[in-house]
Amino acid sequence: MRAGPPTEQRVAFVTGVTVVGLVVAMVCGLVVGPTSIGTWRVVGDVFSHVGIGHSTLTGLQSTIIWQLRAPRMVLGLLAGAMLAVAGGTYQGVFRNPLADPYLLGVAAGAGLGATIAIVDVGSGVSTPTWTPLLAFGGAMIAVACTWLIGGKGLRSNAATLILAGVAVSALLTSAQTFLQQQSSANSITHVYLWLLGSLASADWQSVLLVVPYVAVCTFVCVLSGRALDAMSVGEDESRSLGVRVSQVRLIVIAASSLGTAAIVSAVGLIGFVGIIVPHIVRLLVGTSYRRILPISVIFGAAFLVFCDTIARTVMAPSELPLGVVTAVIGAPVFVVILSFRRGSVR
Amino acid sequence: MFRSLRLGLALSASILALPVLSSSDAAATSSPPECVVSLSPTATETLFAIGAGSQVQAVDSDSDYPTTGLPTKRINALNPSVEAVLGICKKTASHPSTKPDLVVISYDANDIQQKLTTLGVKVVNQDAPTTLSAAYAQITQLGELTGHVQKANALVGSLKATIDADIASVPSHPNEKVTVYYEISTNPYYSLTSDTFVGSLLKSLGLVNIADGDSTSADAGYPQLSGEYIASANPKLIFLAGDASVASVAKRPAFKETSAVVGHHVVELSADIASRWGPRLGSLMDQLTAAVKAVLAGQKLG
Amino acid sequence: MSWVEVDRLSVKAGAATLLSDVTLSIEAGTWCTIIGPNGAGKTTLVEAVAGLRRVASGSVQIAGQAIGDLNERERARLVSLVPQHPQVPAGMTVRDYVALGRVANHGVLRAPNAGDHQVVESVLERLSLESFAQRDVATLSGGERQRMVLARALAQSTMVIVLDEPTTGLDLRHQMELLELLKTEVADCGLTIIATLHDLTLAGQFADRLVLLDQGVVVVDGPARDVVRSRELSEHYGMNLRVIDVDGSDVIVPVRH
Repeated sequence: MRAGPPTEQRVAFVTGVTVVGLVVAMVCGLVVGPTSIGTWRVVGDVFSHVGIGHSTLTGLQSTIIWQLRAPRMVLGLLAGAMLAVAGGTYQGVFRNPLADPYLLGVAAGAGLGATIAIVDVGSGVSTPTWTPLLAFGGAMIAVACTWLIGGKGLRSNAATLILAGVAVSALLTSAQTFLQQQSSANSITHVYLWLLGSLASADWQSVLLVVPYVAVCTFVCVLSGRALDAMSVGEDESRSLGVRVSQVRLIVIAASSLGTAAIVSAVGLIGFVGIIVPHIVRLLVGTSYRRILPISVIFGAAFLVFCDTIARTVMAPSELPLGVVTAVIGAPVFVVILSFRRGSVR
Repeated sequence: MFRSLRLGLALSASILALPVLSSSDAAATSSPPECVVSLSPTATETLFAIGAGSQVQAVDSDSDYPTTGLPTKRINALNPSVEAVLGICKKTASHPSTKPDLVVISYDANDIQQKLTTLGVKVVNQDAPTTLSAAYAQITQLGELTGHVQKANALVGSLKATIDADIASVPSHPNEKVTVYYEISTNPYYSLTSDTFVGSLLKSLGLVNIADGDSTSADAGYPQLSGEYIASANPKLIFLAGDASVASVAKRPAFKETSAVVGHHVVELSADIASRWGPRLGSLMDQLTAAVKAVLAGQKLG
Repeated sequence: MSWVEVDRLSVKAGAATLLSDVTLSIEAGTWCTIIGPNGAGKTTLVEAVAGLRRVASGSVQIAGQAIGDLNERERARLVSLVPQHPQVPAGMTVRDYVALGRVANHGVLRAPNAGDHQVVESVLERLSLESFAQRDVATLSGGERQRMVLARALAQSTMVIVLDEPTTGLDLRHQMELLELLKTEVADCGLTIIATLHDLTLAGQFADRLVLLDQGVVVVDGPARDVVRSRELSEHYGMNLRVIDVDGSDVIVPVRH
């Protein structure tokens, strides 16, 4: 691929391939699994739900498809989309290629919240009610603290926010470590497994919980693409261009953090997607966030569902941790594309 | 406006998050279950000990006892595939479904209990008990669920007898306090108090647990002890349930002068036996008792 | 009232005073250049006029509006900025970069409309950048890049442009080209220009008005011809400056004793 700003044709091509990839990933999410159910029988079952023909699946197979695989696939789409677009948005706001959705304390806050739920509330047992709630609350409180410390005022800039995020994260992580080392081995295992991140506990209830947050926040993030492009010339210059930098930053960070917090409370800390998917997309379609963000939504969704399909199938009847699969697949893909492009990363 | 919107969303989220009350499979099966899955090493031992071994079709990857006769299908209990569990049973004429009849867990990973229960599988969570009677109750429960009530009761009876005999065989020592340090892990040193299961066994043998003095409610019975504290408590008996060996303990500066090391009263316990609460409880109790008696008689161990 | 009114402007940074009681009135369609030795506060002054500095006291008014009361978008419709060291993000095309100048007009949520595209194209043409339009901005030479930044400011279609050392890094030919370009814009479109320049000769030849700033205070303020001949100029630059008339233009040279 030649270097230089991408042509409209290339962008259209990449978008098309990504959408096809999404459809394939969704199909795999329904069709592939440790219990083999014929592809065409699954397709037939899908059609039967919309009134065309009748299903040949047994009750158990239908349950597996619609109560286990389908909500997991949908949650994977939502999580992949949200994490990817939040990561891309953060990279744009902070003009920093190392930004990921957990940068401003979301991970540390959620981890502390989950630890409190597991260690104190559940006395060693992970309760389905409190862990997501406290994780969500912890994440939002952490981001709010970071904003209060580093984000307010005319002279605040990206660097002070990042530093505030580092400080808040360090503090909350140390609190979490303190709680963990005071508690039993059982709790430590629970917390560790929660932190690893997994789609395995997905059900339609958690999907419904997460959908409104992800829908609204993804929408806001994608809309911010033009503003982020304008902000790429630096804060003073973008102010002189008429960009209301502080306002844009607040809205964008709020949306990214809220959506990420919702995802984290449902699935734990899935790493790698938020930082790598926007970079892969950037290598393919150039540095404009107007293009990177919407394509990251699709790419992230497809990528995570694809990885989860592998995670839940290859080591059956056990599962691989999702974070392992995303890294093992994502890193080589990134390296391959990087070596082709040798472009610049903004 | 923003804040109240978020509050509203959080509240609705919390309402939706209330776990769906699932109807448990109340009807007891009249015939014994053909397909049992054990995701708990302790439950595996118990199932085989009460004669239900032939009904067990899959176990977790940590199950290693009994040494022969275990099924080949292994599942990681910390990250099980719920879907795979649903398809794990062999289809036979009498058992046409691949769904298990009974799944025994000791840790609810991936929401497996709720998911399997709503899909009609009986799931029993036998996590670590805190008392002996709770441990016995788990054996009895498995006996009822698998149709081996008599054998289960017999096992419980024999364990009770062994343990009672062990406790009785320890000579009374009103003038001597036998202090014990039970080590779960090294660096940092983690121990357990008398509020825990093993701790209650130690207490029943008349041992004074040095961890009891240093624990707070926050650590749920598993306090971290400093070397200094252990040295000043000067335990007469040390049990190693973690990775440490007797030789390595003797080299530790904090431990070198303790009565236990000097008097050769440091005992390595098999990690498996010490961390399970099933049929081999008797053997665990035997080891603990032998050590206590050796201390009281002034005999060296190992 | 003048187009740009700076009224007793003071800017502080912590304990240090960068500008002290600066008062200027700049008519529409004129070119005012701020000169002064290093550290005089020239950059601070022009950034304050562009609304990018927190003001300790005093005000800046453009077209009768106090820019301190306006938000960024309203301000961007009145005044545009060509900074001394523009940040040029690699990966953008020249056209997209220049189109950033239209953001104040269509906002960050809407795409540029046909009118915006027309403005961008016309600016690219005026500044001879059409052949570069699709190129990555990182591939431009210094002179081309400076022209491009100016194009962005022109695309903003403001009546006032503020430029901070616009000749930085340019060779003599490109310096003259840029300044001639600006002069044409002033003449054709009635643009008001406030610039800082360190080259006194160029400052004198292109500006209608010169303001000598030293240590945050206005020392001399008047027509270019008069300021270059003022005694204060040599004093505040701390050297012997002489003005030589060459073909009707003033050339200012330092003379060694």
